[in-house]
Amino acid sequence: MDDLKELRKQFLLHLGRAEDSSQLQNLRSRYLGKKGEITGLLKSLTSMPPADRPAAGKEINELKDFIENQLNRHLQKIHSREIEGRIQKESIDVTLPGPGSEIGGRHPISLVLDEVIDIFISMGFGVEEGPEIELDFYNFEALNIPRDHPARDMQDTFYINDEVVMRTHTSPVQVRVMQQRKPPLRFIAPGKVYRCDADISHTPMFHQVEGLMVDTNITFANLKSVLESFLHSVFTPDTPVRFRPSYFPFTEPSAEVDIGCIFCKGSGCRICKTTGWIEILGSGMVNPKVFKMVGYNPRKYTGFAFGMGIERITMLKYGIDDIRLFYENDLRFLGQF
Amino acid sequence: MLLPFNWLKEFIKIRKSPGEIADMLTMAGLEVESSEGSGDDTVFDIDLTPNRGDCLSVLGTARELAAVTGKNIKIPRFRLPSEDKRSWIRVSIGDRDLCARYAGRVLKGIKVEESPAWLKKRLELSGIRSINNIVDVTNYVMLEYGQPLHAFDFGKLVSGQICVSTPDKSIRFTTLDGIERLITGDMLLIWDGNKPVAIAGVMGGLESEVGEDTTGIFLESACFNPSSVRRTSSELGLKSESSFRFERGIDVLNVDKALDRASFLISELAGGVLCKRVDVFPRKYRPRQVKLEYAKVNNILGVNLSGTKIQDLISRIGARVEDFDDYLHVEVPSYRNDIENDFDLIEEVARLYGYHRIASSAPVIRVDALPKSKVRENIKSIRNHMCSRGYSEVINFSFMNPDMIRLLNLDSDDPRNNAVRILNPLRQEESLVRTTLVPSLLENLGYNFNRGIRTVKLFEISKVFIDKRQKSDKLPGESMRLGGAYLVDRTHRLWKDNVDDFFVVKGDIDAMIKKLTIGNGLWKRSSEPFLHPGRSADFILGNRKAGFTGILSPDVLHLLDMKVHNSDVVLFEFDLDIITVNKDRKHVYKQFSRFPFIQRDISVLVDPEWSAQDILELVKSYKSKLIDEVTVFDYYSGKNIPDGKISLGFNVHYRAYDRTLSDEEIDGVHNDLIGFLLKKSGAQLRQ
Ligand SMILES: [Zn+2]
Repeated sequence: MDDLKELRKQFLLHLGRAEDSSQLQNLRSRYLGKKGEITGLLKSLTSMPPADRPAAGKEINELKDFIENQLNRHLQKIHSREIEGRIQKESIDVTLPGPGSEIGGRHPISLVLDEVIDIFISMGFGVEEGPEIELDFYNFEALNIPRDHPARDMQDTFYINDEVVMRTHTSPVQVRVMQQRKPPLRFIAPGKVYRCDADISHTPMFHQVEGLMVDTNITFANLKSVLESFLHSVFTPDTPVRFRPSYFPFTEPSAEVDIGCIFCKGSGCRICKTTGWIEILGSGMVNPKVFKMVGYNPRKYTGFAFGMGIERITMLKYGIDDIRLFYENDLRFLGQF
Repeated sequence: MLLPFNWLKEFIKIRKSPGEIADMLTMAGLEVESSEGSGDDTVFDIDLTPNRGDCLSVLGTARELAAVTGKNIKIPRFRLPSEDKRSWIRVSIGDRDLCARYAGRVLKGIKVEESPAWLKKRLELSGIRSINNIVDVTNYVMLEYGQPLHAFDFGKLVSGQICVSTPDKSIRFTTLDGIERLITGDMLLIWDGNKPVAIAGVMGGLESEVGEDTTGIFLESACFNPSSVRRTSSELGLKSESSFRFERGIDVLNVDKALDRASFLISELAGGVLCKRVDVFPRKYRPRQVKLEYAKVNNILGVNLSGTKIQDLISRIGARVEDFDDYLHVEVPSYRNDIENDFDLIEEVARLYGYHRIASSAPVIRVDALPKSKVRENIKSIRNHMCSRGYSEVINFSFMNPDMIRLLNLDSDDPRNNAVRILNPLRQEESLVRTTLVPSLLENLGYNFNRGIRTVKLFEISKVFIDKRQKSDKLPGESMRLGGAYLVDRTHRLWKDNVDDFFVVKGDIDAMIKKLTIGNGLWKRSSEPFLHPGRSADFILGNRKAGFTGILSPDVLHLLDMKVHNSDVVLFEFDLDIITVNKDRKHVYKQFSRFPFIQRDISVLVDPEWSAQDILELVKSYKSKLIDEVTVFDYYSGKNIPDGKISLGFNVHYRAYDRTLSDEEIDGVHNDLIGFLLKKSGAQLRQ
């Protein structure tokens, strides 16, 4: 049985030299294959005297098991070495950014518009729209602003012709909707408006959100509640809100709504012109003259209307100090939102 | 309006500080915008709303303060010196609608000189330049009483007859400021006989101006029609302190009092003799009567005020009231032209009661689920899609520069030429209203690129306006658009893939269209004149063009002030009214096959007229229920391909709903499909 010892030695020598899985495969067939050495030895048992066969068979099988085990163990080792190598070769700088990873900025005006709209939707208001190039009738006349009235001075108007203007506010949507539908009404009308005015604090186009609520029992106390609730949502719940008398031709009584200055907390600063208050909304009870214009019975229905400038709210929310930034569309500005 | 605090104190007893008074006025609706100390005085700048013309004076503001505090005003007393029994002038009003009252007085033997310091200072604090004692007094009394006055040089009035009427025909007239103006037939004038001497309520004439050598004056105090004054002043482009007050309405019962006050002051400062006052007041003044129901006050305001309380508040504005159990009869004072009906009185109640004392109360509403606006939802989703694809949202003015639209080389019948024109634009560059978002987006692109930003990806969702050029349509067509612009510097890209920028942007658009689930649209070569003809496409939905995307034509790029090298500008614009409105297609789940698929590839050589889309459509039109999906996986022209041919590779997935397919069955179908394809397209099979 020295042959077997020799064979074992020779196998171990070959195994030591095997470097990859294909060489191991060769070794397997050389020793354990159909024509392999061990297979040959097992076949040669038949030529042995029957008495010797069991002992010899046992030894050959032990060697076969040994080779099999060694091959498997070695194969595993080589496998993991090969995978390791591949992993190393495939390694990349994982800190590089992926393609298409940059996202665009939302325009802050559009962001705040959405926020304002969502707050009103949550309070049960619908959303309506109207034309931006509007008839003088809807923009002024139907809102109780006759042609020769000083109230027209409140808004510098871009004219298209005698009858057509770039709308100066979103209020004409009130009239258009009331002409088409009967109360109860509860909606807002967001959109662009235009004034013939450009300086450090005015742009010729800006955004407004108009609101209207009409029913049989709407009061000034309701107006206060809805607007307070809105302002507490869009700013913070502890923001002070005050209502003071004002004048809009299409509301009566009219109210200007101020919030406590969010920069100085009411102690007075440059932004609030030392008053501690910042004007944020115009509002009032719908003037019965407007109801008559649209064919509502002013003895039956009451309602309130309000309007706000989105630029102003956006500037306050994000601490933007120059309104012109909104329309330069500089990506270094837009990218921040 | 500038108002010195000390002057106010002459009309009402005030113990509070200027700051406290400013606050009270603001909270009553007379917004004190600023309050500035000046020596021993404080000057309020009050921003008066157009309805409160009655407060455009010391007297008016004092009256308002009295209403707020419940105090009384005290009008400083004066005694007129004895007067000449003759008036020396006659007055007639030609148009009673335009002039409700005209009073006047001749003062003779006066001396025109510089005003005393106290007068100059009051005027200066009120923002009015001192001229001489006569003119200064007219301004002083206007500021004090709210009644505009005018002094004519009596020596220059020759006829002794003043007439108030409009001219028969247009005439030329030179005003105090030395400008000759065209007066049209609807403008009210003051005439000396048949010679015009003033534009009523707006400005006096140069010829009858009071000067150093004036020795007699005719002092005018009148009440002109607000609309008429406003029309005249705006048509002439001539605004004055006087016209400002007349437009807002003055107190017709105050006309004579102001005249006396001015006469008194002039006689004090310039001496002379007062002649008899003339006062033409043709129609008897009747105060406005309004019925105010208590229940209505409480219903509108949402409060519970007693009749007594309401009565008290209304009397404070100087109204005469009478209580009739459930309503109040109110006689409106002559200076409150703004109070026409009960709503105006309800505002007075709210104001004087204090808005802050009206407790907020949430409205009781019927709870309705509102229908969701599909269009708004879609626009929201487009916005989010574009942002997540790296495009930043811009908002531009709706104006358009005529030069920029010309740059686009549009055909003469292109509706985008039909822009609405603004009569009074701020700048020539903003004189048109946008018919397309492209010009603004190109400007944004240039602005950012020229500031060193190398990845410029922008989008805007805004309306465009097309003038319909038809008399019957007074308003232009408005339609919501999505526009975008893209410019990414190639040399500084980290991932150097070779995808054409056209396809990068088209991929973004295709994904958006898929998201909107608006059904099958088709892409075809675009004919937009400002795009590269070979690298641009229109998107067609149904029979309508829904939008385009493409590379900016090199000759247009050349005209823009942008130094772009080896990168392309890509533009797109879509009509959101088309792509966001899906016709309420029912969204129903479609079953898919759970059986295995078999795939086959086809490679064909086609002529360039055939687009990949054409071939895909052709495959889809092949009648076999077994074709599950077809995709393009190869597009090639160049080496190893016959000249002028394009090699297209398609992958076809076969799958049945009811069984596992066999290779043999599919071989049959696939060979037939190839035959169909080659026959229809004239393509060759590529081996
Ligand atoms: Zn502040």
